[in-house]
Amino acid sequence: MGSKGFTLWFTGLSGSGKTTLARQVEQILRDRGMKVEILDGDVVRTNLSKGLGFSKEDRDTNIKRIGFVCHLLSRNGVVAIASAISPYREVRDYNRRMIGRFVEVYVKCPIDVLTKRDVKGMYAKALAGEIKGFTGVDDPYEEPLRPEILVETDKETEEESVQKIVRSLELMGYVPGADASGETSEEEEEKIRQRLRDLGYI
Amino acid sequence: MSRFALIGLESAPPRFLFDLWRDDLPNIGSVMKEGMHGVLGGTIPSSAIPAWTSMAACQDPGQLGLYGPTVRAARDHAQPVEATSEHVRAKTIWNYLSNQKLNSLVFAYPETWPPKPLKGVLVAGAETPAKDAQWTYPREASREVEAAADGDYMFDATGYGGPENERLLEQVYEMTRRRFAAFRQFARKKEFDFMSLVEIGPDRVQRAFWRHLDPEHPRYEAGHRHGSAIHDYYVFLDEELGRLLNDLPTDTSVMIVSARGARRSNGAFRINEWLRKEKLLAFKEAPEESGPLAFDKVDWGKTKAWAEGGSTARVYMNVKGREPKGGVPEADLESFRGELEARLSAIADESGSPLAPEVSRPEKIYRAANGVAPDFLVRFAGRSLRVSGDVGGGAFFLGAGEGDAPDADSDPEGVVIWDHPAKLRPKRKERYSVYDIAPTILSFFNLELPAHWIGEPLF
Repeated sequence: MGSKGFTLWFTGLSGSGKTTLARQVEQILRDRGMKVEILDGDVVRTNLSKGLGFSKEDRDTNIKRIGFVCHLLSRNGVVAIASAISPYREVRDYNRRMIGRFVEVYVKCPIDVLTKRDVKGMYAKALAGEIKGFTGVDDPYEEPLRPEILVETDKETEEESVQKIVRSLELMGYVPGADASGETSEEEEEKIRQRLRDLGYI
Repeated sequence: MSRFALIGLESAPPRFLFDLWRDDLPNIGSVMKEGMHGVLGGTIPSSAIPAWTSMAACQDPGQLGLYGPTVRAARDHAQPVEATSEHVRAKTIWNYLSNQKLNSLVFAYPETWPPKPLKGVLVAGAETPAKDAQWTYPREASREVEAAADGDYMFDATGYGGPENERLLEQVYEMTRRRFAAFRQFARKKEFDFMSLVEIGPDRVQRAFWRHLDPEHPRYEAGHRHGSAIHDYYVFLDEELGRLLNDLPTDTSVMIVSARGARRSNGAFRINEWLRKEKLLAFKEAPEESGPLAFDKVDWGKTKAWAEGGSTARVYMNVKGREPKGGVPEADLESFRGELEARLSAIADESGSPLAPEVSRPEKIYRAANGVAPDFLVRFAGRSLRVSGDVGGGAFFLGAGEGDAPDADSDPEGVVIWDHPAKLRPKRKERYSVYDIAPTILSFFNLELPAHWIGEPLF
């Protein structure tokens, strides 16, 4: 029963749904009795990474700090869930190497959809030049090449994305699950299995 | 006290425990004497599903989208499927406890197959089809369950039939003994904060032997050797409960519940056969003999309504635009619903006296109507008739014990008996609610109640 820790790393553009999905997955894992901590990029910048800006160096430092805390938590049996834009591939991979038990979730959503959604009004400001160095507008975002889990929030409902993440974790053996696929459809189940087979997990 | 044990006696009616056999059931009596007891108002329909699920998830059948033992996935013409844990989307008591790192032991709770993960151990309910699919969580717990249950844990007793249902009686005793033995084995470990066992045995003996208990049952025979079959089983069950009470950690607060009760069944009204005669349910080829409604045989274009049987029938209208081949024009939905309710309400028995059923609409009795809700529900409890969904053969009524009709039907009134900690003072009520159980348990553990829950703690 003593489940091992691991890190679930949500990456994606601002407003793509990382934090919402992370919170929902957190609740499901907690309902199964697992120990879970969330490290949210926005929150971390008010404490752990207070004072850091948005230059590439500062962004990398921020992501490495989050990665370091995830590493400590994971090796002590906690599921660490990170939710941060984390735009640079190199530093995400650095964390992956350090942590080992690392699952990357790419929360994908096209920039034009995000610009239209613009819940926090940030894209409008970035496009108007009021904010500089905004990821996806005038700062780069490097897509993950082989994320364990890909969710497309412009095409899937929130519930579908959450189910896909949880089911993938079950199949990878990170989260205790039952034989039955539960909430996922047969077609979706096969897609998830195919991805994990391609990545050599199952 | 820091632990809680919820012991479910499936379909135990208040009368047996509170009046009829109170003196013969000393262990249940001891829990009653130390604590509170009362009638527990349940759900409509009062079938195991949704009753027990409503208790565990603290939401009504409409909110859960579970209106009976079968589920329609969509408003199409596919045969409804048996409800399983996969249809339970709401969180149950043990999900909330797991969330707070409390350990649960859940044995045979209805609608828990396939088993879903939790912090603790879960043994799936009577609906488990076979042991080749996972039936415990975690999977490896099954070995320990089997070992403690003479090598063969039994989910249910199904040996109805034969001249006297003898085999069933033997099975029920064996099943109960093994389940309690396995449960005690886990409970003794003192690892669990919350322990729950639901014993289906009372329901099984009542369905098979009510006729020998109740002089008003149409097939009652005075002095029958099974006259005390139900009573004797309850005495045996009480002894098992006594052993369990001895083995539970001393800091355990014990609650005995039934999410529903039972009553005599005088037979059944065959609703689909009636709909067929009324030309509201049409077939591509008429069913030759009586049998379950086969959806592929129905002429859906000419069908206006059909129903699922049970203690309460769930009536579905076949509406154009809503169902693929609807026989009722969409504009007539409301007027036809009213008309059909009135026609059903006017049905009389063979001697001409009205059956006076209770008709209820989902939007009136539930807080929501999620999933595919029936258009209305109908219950013939005043005449102690169940509803059969079978078609064919011509008859509208099934006599007591005819076909596979059970002797007993479910009833929405169950029991709650709670040996509560002295510092918690239960509220005095005429009648408690099935929705009060989950809030009582979370409050017992000092946990916050989810805002969407509809009951309140007993104290």
